[in-house]
Amino acid sequence: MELAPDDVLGYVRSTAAFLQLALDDDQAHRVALHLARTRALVMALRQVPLGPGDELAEIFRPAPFPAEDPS
Amino acid sequence: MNTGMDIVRAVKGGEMLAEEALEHCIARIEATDSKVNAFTDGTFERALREARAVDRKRASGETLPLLAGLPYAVKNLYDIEGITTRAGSRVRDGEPPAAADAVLVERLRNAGAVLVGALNMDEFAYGFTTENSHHGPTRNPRDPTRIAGGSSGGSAAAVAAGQVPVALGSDTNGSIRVPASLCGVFGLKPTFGRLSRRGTFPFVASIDHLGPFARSVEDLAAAYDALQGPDPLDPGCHATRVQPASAQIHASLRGLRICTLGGYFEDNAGPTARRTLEIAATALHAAPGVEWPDAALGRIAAFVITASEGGSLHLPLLRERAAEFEPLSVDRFIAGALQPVEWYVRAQRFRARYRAGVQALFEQWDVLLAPATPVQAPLIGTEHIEIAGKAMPARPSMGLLTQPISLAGCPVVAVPLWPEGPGKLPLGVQVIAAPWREDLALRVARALEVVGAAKSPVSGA
Repeated sequence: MELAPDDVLGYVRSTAAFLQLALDDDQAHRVALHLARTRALVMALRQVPLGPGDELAEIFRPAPFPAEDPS
Repeated sequence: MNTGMDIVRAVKGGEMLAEEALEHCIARIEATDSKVNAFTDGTFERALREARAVDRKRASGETLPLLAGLPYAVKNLYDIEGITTRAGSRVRDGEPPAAADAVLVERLRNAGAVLVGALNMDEFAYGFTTENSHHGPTRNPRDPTRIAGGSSGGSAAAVAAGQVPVALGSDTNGSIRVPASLCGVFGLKPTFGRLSRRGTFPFVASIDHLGPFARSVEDLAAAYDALQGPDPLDPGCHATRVQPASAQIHASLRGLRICTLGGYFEDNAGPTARRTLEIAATALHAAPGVEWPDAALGRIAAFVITASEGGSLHLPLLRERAAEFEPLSVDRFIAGALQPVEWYVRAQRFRARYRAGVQALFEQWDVLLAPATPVQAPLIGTEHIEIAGKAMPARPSMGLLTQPISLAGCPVVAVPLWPEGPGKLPLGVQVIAAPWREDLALRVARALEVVGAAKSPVSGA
């Protein structure tokens, strides 16, 4: 069976406890394997140079901009 | 009776009652669903009321609406008045029935269509196979030992099996296009923000799309037109007016710049998927091999956003009832809930830049082509598939070719081709257009249908 890296397993156990998610040992290992695979993918995303001007794809809008000015 | 619009024309012309069309449809469901397992709920009494209402209208000389008498069914994440929306999960079994129909169900009802039931799916739409442990797997009507694809597997299978001419599904990372490819039917994932999602159970709010399946482009376009309309109450519905497409599907392709996608899309396609793309490219005289910008990174960003939003959405239930979740996806939901927020924010910041790159690509091309799935339908229970000589985990890999496109929000028609000949397994091609240009994708899909490269016969299931 593939083993999750210790740092990922430790992260899973501590964050799950913080979020009040009860995980037994087997499930913690399985979740850690998923997270370790995602971390490997994210490494590529981290290589993309994003500057302070690179904002989120969508930004909160309090209400649609009015079609007409108030009278 | 071949297609949904054949039924509509017959009902409007008085050659068939809507009630007769419904009876035919119910008989087909009863004859085939023990093999296919597409349906989770039947709404036959409601359907009878809706069909008789159409017939009464015609008898009294009223003008019939666009889809009068058309039987259809919806993925069971759409609200149906009086039925609990379970979204493929037994965790929601005790929830109260929906008080009203989803907006898109309401629109089809107003168009005279007849709802016959709800359809199987991966739990909470997190999967590409519809191997649902609670309701059983939906089986591919082209070969019942194989998956139907997912997460809208019940929708694609019901259409392929001839149970209904039209079905509705949802697509976050490929959940319309993957099952359409594997079951050999047409599927439309519209532009992100085109159709209202109100009254459906969400998965990933920032990527969720809804759309139709059908066995002909005419049916697909007619259903799509009936589904359109602004919805100011859905913050993710960005369309401000209806842009009908049906009338344009027969227009010439003259002047359209059509190209196949190379690079990532070639690297992650098996030999049959490549051959399928060649068939489509030859039929359309498409130019070869343009690169979709940052496709691999787009797939990663979609993966991260999906895990975070999906995990966060279900965190309260995961705390209390994780043991009742689908075993195939519960660990992924939990892993998503635990992802560092920096991953999610980075993925969303990347998405803005990604969108700009894709928009630039569509300044040079009108329509792009790529396989919809890396391989044809695997056997139910398959753990690994081989792509370019490399063993890949089967379930997540079915979305390798669809995820980069939906992250950009582009409209796509999945078109069924038969690379190994009639009666063998199908594989779909994605016909991709710039945002808000569903008309172009449908027009090209129709051209493939006209030349005989694309077709969706009723399976013998």
